[in-house]
Amino acid sequence: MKNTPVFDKDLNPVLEIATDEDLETLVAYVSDKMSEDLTAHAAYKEYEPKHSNYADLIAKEIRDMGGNSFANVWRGEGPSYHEMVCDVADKLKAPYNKNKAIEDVENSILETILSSAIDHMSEEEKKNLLNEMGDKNNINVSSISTSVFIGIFRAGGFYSYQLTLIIANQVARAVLGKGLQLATNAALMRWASILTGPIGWAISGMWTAVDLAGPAYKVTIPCVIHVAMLRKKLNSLSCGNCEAILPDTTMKFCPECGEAITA
Amino acid sequence: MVMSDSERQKKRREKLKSESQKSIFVRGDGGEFDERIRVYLAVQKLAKEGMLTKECIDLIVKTSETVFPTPELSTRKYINKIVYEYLTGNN
Repeated sequence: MKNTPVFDKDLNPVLEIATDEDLETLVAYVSDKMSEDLTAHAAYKEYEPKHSNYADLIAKEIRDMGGNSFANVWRGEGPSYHEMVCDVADKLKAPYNKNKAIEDVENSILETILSSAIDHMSEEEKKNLLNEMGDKNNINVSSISTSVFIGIFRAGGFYSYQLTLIIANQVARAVLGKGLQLATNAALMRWASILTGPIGWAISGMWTAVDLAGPAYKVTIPCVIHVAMLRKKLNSLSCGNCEAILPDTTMKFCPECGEAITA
Repeated sequence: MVMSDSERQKKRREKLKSESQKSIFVRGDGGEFDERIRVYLAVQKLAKEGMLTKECIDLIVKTSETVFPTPELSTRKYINKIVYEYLTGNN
């Protein structure tokens, strides 16, 4: 893909292997802003809605949104994606170390949102969520703290991806007025019903602060959350036949389509 | 000596830029005496002329994923995609 020579090692690899559906939301976020250049580009006019043909342009546009317009002209490109994610973490008051990998900073942002959402949940909702996550020991309700869920999130894999997907979906609802159009596993739909309310409230609270912070964050915060979700999705093991995310690395058959899993 | 904020930021940007775009020094103008460039142009030529079997192209693509140690699955998928496109000319 050579629509632009601008490349970012933390952003381009993720966007350039994403599908048209995955990129649809990002295009909607950036094209919502008056100052965007994406929709004026020849590649966009030629290929839209096949967004994967100009994923490098989408990456460039996201980075441009993260920087001051005059500084972008002087630099020749927007700030690095890592710098942009650190800015978003600052804005959402997520603790992070700027020398850490991009995934760690993204996780810190998601953990901050998740903590806020779980604080909004009742004990019964927490118990239901834990059951959906495969709790076999029937943990005492009073002992379920936010750190239990954060621990599950930090463990990575399928559950971590699902929590991120629910957050990204709620952000899309808040910004665009509609959720993500993704093919999802059946398990996710059960989870979504438990987490949608609390995460929605947490995001509403966050959005009020973002509204006051200025227009640039209205684009960069949703973009960073969506890219974090895509990174988790693309780093998960998936079925070669139906592309469903596999909950367990030891599975021999896909739980969605029944196809044998090849190593 | 303590660096100012702008100096620190400039240093960080230069570091990130150098990570993303590393220059390769080659022998001769355009690398005509460089064995590395000759190998990859020869492989590309053979692949585009259909002289490499699909299995051979797949093997080159798969090996290229781990030439530099890459733990992230998404990065490996990206390398797979760009090397496959390079060899088959599907840009």
